[in-house]
Order: sequence, then structure tokens, then C-alpha cells
Amino acid sequence: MAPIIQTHHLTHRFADGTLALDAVSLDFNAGELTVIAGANGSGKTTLLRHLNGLLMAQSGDVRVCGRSVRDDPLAARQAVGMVFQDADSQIVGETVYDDTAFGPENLGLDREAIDRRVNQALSAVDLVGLENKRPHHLSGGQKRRLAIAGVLAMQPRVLLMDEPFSNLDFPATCRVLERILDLHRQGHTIIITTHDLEKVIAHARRLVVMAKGRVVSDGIPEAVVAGIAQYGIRPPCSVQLGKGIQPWVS
Amino acid sequence: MGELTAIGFIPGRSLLHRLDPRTKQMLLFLLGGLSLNAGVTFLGVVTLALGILGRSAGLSLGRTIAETRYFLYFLVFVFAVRAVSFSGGWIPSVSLPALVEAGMVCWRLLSVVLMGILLMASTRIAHIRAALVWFLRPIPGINPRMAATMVGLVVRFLPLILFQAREMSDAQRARCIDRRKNPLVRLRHFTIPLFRRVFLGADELAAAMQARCYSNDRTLPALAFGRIDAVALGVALLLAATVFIQ
Amino acid sequence: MDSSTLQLKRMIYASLMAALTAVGAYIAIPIGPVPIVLQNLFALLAGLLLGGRWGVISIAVYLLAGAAGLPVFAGGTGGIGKFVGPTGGYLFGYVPAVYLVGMIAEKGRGRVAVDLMAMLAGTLTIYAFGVPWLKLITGMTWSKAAAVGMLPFLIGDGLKIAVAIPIVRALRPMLDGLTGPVRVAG
Ligand SMILES: Nc1ncnc2c1ncn2[C@@H]1O[C@H](COP(=O)(O)OP(=O)(O)OP(=O)(O)O)[C@@H](O)[C@H]1O
Ligand SMILES: [Mg+2]
Repeated sequence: MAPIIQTHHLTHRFADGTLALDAVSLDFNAGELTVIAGANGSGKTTLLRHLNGLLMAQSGDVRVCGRSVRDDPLAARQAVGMVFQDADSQIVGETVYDDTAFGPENLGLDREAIDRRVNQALSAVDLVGLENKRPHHLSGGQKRRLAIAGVLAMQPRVLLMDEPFSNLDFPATCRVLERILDLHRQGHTIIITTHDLEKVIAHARRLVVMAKGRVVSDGIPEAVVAGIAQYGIRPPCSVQLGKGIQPWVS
Repeated sequence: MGELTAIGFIPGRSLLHRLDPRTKQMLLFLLGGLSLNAGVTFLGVVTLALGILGRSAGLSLGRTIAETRYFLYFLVFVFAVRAVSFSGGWIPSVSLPALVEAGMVCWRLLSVVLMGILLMASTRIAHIRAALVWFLRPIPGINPRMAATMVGLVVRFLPLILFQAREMSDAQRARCIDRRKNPLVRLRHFTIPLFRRVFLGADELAAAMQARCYSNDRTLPALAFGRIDAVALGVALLLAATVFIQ
Repeated sequence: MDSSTLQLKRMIYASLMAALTAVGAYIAIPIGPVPIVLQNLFALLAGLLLGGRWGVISIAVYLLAGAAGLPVFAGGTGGIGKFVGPTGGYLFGYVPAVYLVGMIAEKGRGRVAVDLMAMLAGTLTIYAFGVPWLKLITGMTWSKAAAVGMLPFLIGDGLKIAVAIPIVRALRPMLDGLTGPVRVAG
């Protein structure tokens, strides 16, 4: 089967001269859960933003489902949903319902279909019953789950999650993690970026390491994790203790 | 958390909740406009109706008073200015007709504000937005959907910015901004970081909206003008007619 | 940036300025006997920062939100009542005031003297609408209306005009390229 997302020699230099991506070539297969790790400023967010056409490749190209993102950014954004690093700036609706409905409304669906999708999305992240709440009243974990629901309602094939566990306490992290794993089991392709491997790595079959805008290591986690400390990423505790990769939650 | 003082939406199935938001806006404009030079009878009927409708919509009197206290202070001020006159010198004088007139002015203003509160309590913001699109559609030169989206953004970001503003002013107070007596310095230290923070968030917001395929041709909440709407408008028009008969 | 992204960004800036104006209605800085309410400063800054057209769009969105009943006016109130109430004149005075500020500032291209003039013209325009309206609604005499609705705020207005200059100088670079004249229908 052809990869669902392909990047080929993707390079991006910001206006101020920062080289954020340097010839990145990666293929992502449908149904895979991939973790992209890297220190602060290694280019993870910039890479994700190319995968759904929020940023356009300056050289090289990005293909989603075989089509170039540059030719049809709207199709790419429908197929590839993105949960942002900062949930507060991602939530645009005045209430939980309105925010979840924002995407489907943009797609011009009719009201019935929108209601159905909103219900599905909210129940997938355990937020049913909070439809009329204002987003700024939600807790950090609820906000993150609402951000995920807003993306799910668009029924994307691929989910990009930028640091989905930042600022979450232990129970909230577990809940978000469980929801992500559910979505993976249902067949979604999932790409997670993080500088904290601990929480997800046991569930991923692939680990990509980035440093200074380049892919420096790519393979099954057991193999990649060994030399990871040199790129500014802390290996999981269990690896440091010599027990191999262990799930973070049982 | 930055909190707005006015009463927000209270979910329910009362008469007001079931009215079309457009009907409610029209009632607000019609009755609100007329209230401003209405007599005792009209104001009495309107206030009574507002009380009953508010009650059934789940608003309690105590909460309404608490939430409108700033406006009530303002009314007291207006009352005092209207009732007291300095005729012919510096000695204040109060007359009965002036008192009555001042009371009427305050009653009128109060009833209009109560109408606004009732609208907010019984209508979801998405529906207010949809009604807005409907009202703006006939006006040339305005893109009603864009206007409605912008109003939605204001509603979404107002509490967040308010929260950031308070947080920032607390943080500056913790670093003894109060010792700076120059008001220009204080205004600057308050405004520039606040605006900068809000504007920095704007780029992220644009990306988030694009990531969810933002377009101007969005599906709007469905509005239905039913029989109770026709009845409500009819009653309001009759009530309006009484103003002119008097 | 392609044109739809540019349009979306302008729209977001105008919405955020409208939200900031609403925040200005909630926040008073305690200086002297009359606390300085930041609402009119923020409204006029919309003109200085966004220019005439988008400044007016921003203030119109603010007023529209208020007219629709959302709590964006001083003291957490909203609704048509505020427009027909005694302080209504100040509110719809914002529209011509912000337009004037924006148009003058666009001509000035960042010159301090022009920005000062723009702010002065804007402030006067707000009173030109606010005070007569106050007189009309409350039935006060001209001198009373001016004494209640203008004189106590003049010192604060002077401060606001003075402070607007460093503020726009600090913030304009952030908005560069977004605030020029636009032809796309709004
Ligand atoms: N809009 C921008 N303009 C200029 N430089 C930028 C911009 N956005 C990011 N950069 C730079 O690009 C590089 C990569 O940034 P990116 O946000 O992709 O890193 P990241 O891996 O997501 O980091 P973090 O873990 O902190 O989220 C950094 O050096 C950053 O300073
Ligand atoms: Mg990042």
C-alpha cells in the first residue's frame, strides 16, 4: 500500500533566516502510530504544519493520499487533522458544542450531519453533557480533549498531535493517552510529537528523532532509543534501568 | 478566571427559550425603543411580563440584582442628577414632579436592560449569531457571515483576554508597579504587553482556523419561525399600539 | 501570504481589537479622582493600528456584539438599551471617531505629529456625539451635560493621547503588511 503521507527533501527557512527543516524525507503508512521526538526548536511543529498545508514547502514537496499539498491544501486539511501544542489558541467556538461544530460547519454539512458528528466526537473524548459550557471554564485536560474532539468531528484519516501531554497532570495524561490509543485501534493514522518519550513510546511501532531540522534517526523504538540522549532527549526510565520499554500506564 | 458579570445562557424549555432568536431580537428592538418614552401603564405591563418570563426562564431576582449592580449604581447617579436642581444658586432643591420624572427615566432604562439580560439568558450564542446574519443580510456592503464569525471570536476571546489582563496586572503589582507614580508609565506597561500577547496569539489562531478548513460559507444554526413567534410578535404589536392610543 | 490568509488575519486582528475594546470597558486604572477607563483609548487604537477601514470594521463588530445583547459594554452590560441610554452617544460616536483616526494615521505613515493629531480629532469626535446625546436623553442643560459628560475625563484623555504614541510605535511593527488599504469587500 502507498504511504498516506510522504515528504520528499522538505526544506523550510523562516523569514528571519532560521533553517527549521533541512531536507526531511519521511513516509507515513496508514494505520501506524509514529512518535517524532526532538529537543525544543528541533523543527517538530514546523514539520507537522507542512503536513496539512498550514506552511508550504519552499523546496521539496509533501503529498497526502498521493496528492501534492500545494495543489490542494483544503483536501489535505480535511484528511489530516491537527491538535495544536497550545489548546487555548486552538479552541475557536464560544461553547463546547460550537467549537466541535466549527470544522463540520466550515465543510458546509447540513445541521443533522453536524449534530451527529459532534455527538460522536464528544463521546469519543468523554465530554458528553458539557455541550453548553464555555471553553475557558474547562480544565486543562478537558480543553485538550475538546481540541481533539474538534479535529475528530472533521473525520480525518490522519491525526497530528503536537505535544498532546504538555501541561497535563497524571490522570489527565492517562485519559488523553487512552483516547489516543482508542483512536489508533479504530484505524486512525497517528503522528505524535514530544520531547518526553516516557508516555507514548511503548505503544508506537516507529520512532523518528529530529535535531536541528534534520531527521537523525528513524526506526523501531527499541533500536532508536539506545543512542537518543545525544540529541537532548531523555530516554524512558525503564530503558535507563535496563528493563527495556515498558508501558507508562498498565 | 476572568469572568464576565452578565448572566449567560441558562438551558431550559421555557416560552422564551422556544421563541426564535430573531423574534426575541425584534421584540427587544420594538419594546426597548418604545419603553424609552412610554408611560406608566406600558412600563408596568412590560415589567410584569419581563418578571414572569424571567421567572419561568430560570432567572432569580437576587441573582439579577447582583449581576446588574454596576448598572444600578449608575441609575442612582442618573436619578440624583435628574431629581436635584440648582435653580438660581448653589442651594440644591428637590421637587415632587422632578422626583417622579427622574424615577420614570430610571424605570425606562432599567426595563430596557432587563430585556437584554432575558435575551442572553434564554438564547444560545450560536443562535444570536445566526439571527445576526439574518438581520444583516439585506444591508449592502456587509458580509453577514463574516460579521457573525467575528462577533463569535469576540465572545470566545473576551474572557481569555480579560483573564490575561488581570494576570498581567497582578504580576506587575507583585513587582511594585504601584510605586511608579507616573500614570503614563503605568498605562504603557499595562497596554503594550497586553496587546503584544493578544496579537502574538492571532497568528496561531489563524493557523488553527485554517487547519479546520475555515471558510466564509459556513453552515449556520437552523432557525425556525413558528406559530408562537407570530403570536408573540402580534401581542407585542398590540402592546406597542397602546402607547400611541394613550 | 496568499490573499485568503491575509484576509483571515485581518479579520482576526479586527476581532481581537474589538475584544480588547470590550476588555477596556471592564478595566479601570485607578489614577487620581476619576479612574481612567481604557475603553476609548483601545477603541481609538483600533484606528491607529488597523487603519480607517479595518478600524471601523473592528469597532462595528464591537457595537454589533453589544447590540445583539452580549455583555461587552462597561459594567458587563449589553443590549440595545445602551445605545438609547444616556451614554449611547459615546458608543456610536466611536464609528466616525475611529474612521477619522484611521484615515489621518494612514496618511501620516507613522509620523508622530500626525498620530497625535489623529488621536486629538478622534477624542473630540467622541465628545461631539456623546455630550449632545447625553443632554438629549437626560434633559440636562448644556453646561450640566458638559460638566457630567466631558470635563471630568479631559485629564485622562490627555494622558491617553500621550500614551497612544509609544504604544503604536511599539505595536505597529507586529502588524506590518496587514494593515494597508484593502479592496476585498468586508
Ligand atoms: N514563525 C517563525 N519565524 C521564525 N522562526 C521560527 C518561527 N517558528 C519557528 N521558528 C524557529 O524554527 C525552529 C523550529 O521551531 P519548531 O517550533 O518547529 O520547534 P519544535 O521542535 O516544535 O520545538 P518545541 O519542542 O519547543 O515545540 C526554531 O529554531 C524556531 O525558533
Ligand atoms: Mg513545537
